Amino acid sequence: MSKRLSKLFIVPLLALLMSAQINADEAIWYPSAFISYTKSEFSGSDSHKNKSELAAFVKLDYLEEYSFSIGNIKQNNNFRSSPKTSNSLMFLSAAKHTYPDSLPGKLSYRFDLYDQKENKLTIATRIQTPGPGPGSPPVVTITTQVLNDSLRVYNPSLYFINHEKTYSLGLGYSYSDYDSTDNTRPPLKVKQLTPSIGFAFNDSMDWMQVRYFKIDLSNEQRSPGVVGTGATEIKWTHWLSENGKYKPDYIQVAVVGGERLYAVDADVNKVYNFIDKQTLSYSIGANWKSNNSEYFIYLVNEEYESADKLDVYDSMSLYAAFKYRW
Amino acid sequence: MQHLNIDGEKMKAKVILSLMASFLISNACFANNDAWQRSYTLEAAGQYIAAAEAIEPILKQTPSNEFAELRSGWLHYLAANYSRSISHYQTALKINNLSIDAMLGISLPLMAQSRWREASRYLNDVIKQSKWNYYAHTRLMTCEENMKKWQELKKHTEEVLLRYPSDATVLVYMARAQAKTNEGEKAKETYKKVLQRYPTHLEATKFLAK
Repeated sequence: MSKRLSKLFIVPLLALLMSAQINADEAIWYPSAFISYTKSEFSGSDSHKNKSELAAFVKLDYLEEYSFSIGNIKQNNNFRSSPKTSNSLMFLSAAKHTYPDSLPGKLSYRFDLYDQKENKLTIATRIQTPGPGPGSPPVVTITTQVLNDSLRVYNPSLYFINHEKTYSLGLGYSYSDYDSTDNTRPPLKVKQLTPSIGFAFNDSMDWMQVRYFKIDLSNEQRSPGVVGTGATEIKWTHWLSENGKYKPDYIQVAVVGGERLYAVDADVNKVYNFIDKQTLSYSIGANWKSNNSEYFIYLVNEEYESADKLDVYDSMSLYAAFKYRW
Repeated sequence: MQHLNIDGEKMKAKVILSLMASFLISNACFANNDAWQRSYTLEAAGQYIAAAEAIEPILKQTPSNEFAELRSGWLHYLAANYSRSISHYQTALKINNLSIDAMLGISLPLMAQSRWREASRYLNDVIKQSKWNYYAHTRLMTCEENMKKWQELKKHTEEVLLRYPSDATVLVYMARAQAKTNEGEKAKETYKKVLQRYPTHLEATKFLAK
């Protein structure tokens, strides 16, 4: 299904790219490409070691009316005592931008689809036994197993921004379907509602965005002790007034407080198909612009907790990305 | 004799018909002129929607009235009904696809909606017909600035400044593009030229005070 879907999108997208009147006054199709690499190191975890992620996207805008994207996200996970796993996630997106006179701005309808035929999840089970003597710490025995899921995420969203770009409102909904392909576990359905609000200040040199992630999980057997989570993200972007030689175009700081499990972040095209709960995340990053190119570098720190609360650890990631617009 | 009578009656009927027709046409013309007059008065009073409504009967007439479409486009732009304004300008362009009025007109609501790419297309169409059209070039500069095409904007302002060397607006765009492309000293010099043309220019004064 994933291959069929990708063919359905890739062929017309490539045809459009070939026919796009690149860089001409008459251009109506505007292609861009985006590639990112993330390297994460886990510290304090008894099972996770590190992971890397390579993502590539091609986007095609039809003037300011439609946008189409296709992408692939490849992930390699290394563990302390179990074999490494690799996952590949397909991403498709279509958006329509409208400008009704009844609203003082642009209203965008967007639909994202993530598809993964084989989602390998490494699950660590811990058995805690009392220590050998009085006062000695308990002994934790870890056994790991790799389970297979298929994953599909349907992510429709609405986004409004006024013409002056001084405020925005958004509402996203995502439905994630984790289906066990080896019939070892019942399926898991995750519903997420993501309202957001954004506003500009300091003469539009700053932008603040607040998003709330309300996540409901269908199956407690797959997410022990958790039927739902809630988290708030606050993201501040500051544009620098003048460009120096190495001066960024903007800097960004974000904090996510609260708990997120199996979250979908449409802003960064990320699906957290991760078995452990995220309890805190903060990041700092910058963007540089040069003619048609853009460069991004982010440092992200995330805190996680396993379902049995016996593995509480950090993940430090370096994210680098490059975007090119024709 | 009878033949002459029939001809005479035919002639009489023709005269009556033509009199009636000219009466109706002149009445319609007066009604149209009245509508235009009302529309201008309402526009001057800032009642843009009412001003557009005043010429709606003319818009419904066939064949399509190009000027009524252009004026409706303008009035709806002033009333911030940008999509409706765009639709009138598009109709005007269907009637006359060489209309620079319509191309310049449609660029305004598109720019108000931050549709810089679409506005640029129409402005480039104007430039194809009228190479150094001032409005097309300065509006295209606004689009380039908003799309953050700084190198393109810089080159564009250099070209246009050769044609309009006394213009302060082009110099302001040039200074902004220079400031954004690590040419701070050049930006200062350009802002100084802005102040020669516009001694109280706030942006130039602020930049030079840094």
